[in-house]
Amino acid sequence: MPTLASPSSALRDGARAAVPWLAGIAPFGFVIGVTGAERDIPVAAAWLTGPLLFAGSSQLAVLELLDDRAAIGVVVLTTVAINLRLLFYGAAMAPHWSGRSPAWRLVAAAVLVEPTFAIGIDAANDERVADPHRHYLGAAAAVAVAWFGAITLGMIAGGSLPAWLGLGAIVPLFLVGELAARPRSRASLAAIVAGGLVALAAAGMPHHLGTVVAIVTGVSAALVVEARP
Amino acid sequence: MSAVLAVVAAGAVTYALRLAMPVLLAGRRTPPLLERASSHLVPAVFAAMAATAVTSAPVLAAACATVIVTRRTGSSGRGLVAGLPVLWLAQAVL
Repeated sequence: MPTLASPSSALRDGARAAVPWLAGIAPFGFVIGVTGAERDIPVAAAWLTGPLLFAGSSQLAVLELLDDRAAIGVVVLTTVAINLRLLFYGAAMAPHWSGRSPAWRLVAAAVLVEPTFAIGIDAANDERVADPHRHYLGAAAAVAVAWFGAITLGMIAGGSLPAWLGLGAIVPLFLVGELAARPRSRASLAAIVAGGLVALAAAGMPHHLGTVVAIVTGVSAALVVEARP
Repeated sequence: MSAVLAVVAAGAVTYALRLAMPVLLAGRRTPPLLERASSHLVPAVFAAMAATAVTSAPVLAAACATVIVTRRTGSSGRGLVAGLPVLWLAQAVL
C-alpha cells in the first residue's frame, strides 16, 4: 500500500530516480553542445534543439543537416523518422495519463523521452509510488536541467575535450547497464535479443528507420514468447 | 533565421509525435494488445539503441564490464563507472 506523499516529496523522489540517468545523458548532452559549437550554424538554432527536440539522436542529426544546409522539409522528415519511437512511448503512457487534465498531458508529453519514459512507466506500475504523475514530472525536471546544462557547457567548451574520453560510448554503455539491471523474463530477453540483432542488421537503413524496425521486432518477439505456454 | 525555423519545425513535429497517442487514446480503453506490447517497449528500445553503438572491440569490452558490475551491484551507474576505464584501456591497447 503506498504511503501518502506530499507533492514536493513526490517531485523529489522522481528527481532522485533520474540521478542514475544523469551520469549517462549529461556527457551525451555535452557532446551535442560541442557538435553545435563546431558546426557552421547559428548558436541559437544549435541550442534550441535542446528544449524543442529534447531527444539526443535527432538533435545530432538536425545539427548535421543544418550544417549541410539541408532543406527544412528534409530536416523535418529526418526528425520524424528518428523520433517515431516517441509515438510508442506516448501510447504506453496514455492509459496512465488518461485521468489527467489536458494541460497536464500537454506538459508531460513535451518531456517524454527515454529517461522520463522509463522512470514514468516504472512508477506507474509500482504500487509503492504514491504519486506517479508528480514522480514523472520530478524526473523530467531533473533530466531537463541536466540536459540543457550539459548542452550549454558543451557549446562553451567547444572542441576542447580529448577524443580518447570516448564520450560517444557513454550513452550506449548506460543503456547496456540499464538492461542488465532490469529483472529478466523470457519475454524481455526475447525483446532484447531480437531488438538488438535487428538493429544491427538494419543499421544501414536510411533516416534511422532501422531503429524503428528493431523496436517493433523486439516487442513482437516478446509478445510471441509471452503467448507460449 | 532559416536554421531556427527548421529547428522550430522539427520541434513541432517531435512534439506532435509525443502527444498524438495520449490525445487519441484519451478517455478510451487501451487495447489489450497495446497494453501488453507497452510492457516490452523499454527493453526493445534500449537494446535497439545500444546495439548499433556496441560494435567496436573497446566498446564491447566496456559493455561486458558494465554488465558484470551491474549484475553484481544492481546499479547501472556503477556499471557505467566500471565500464569507462575498461573502454579507455581497451582503446589504448587494441
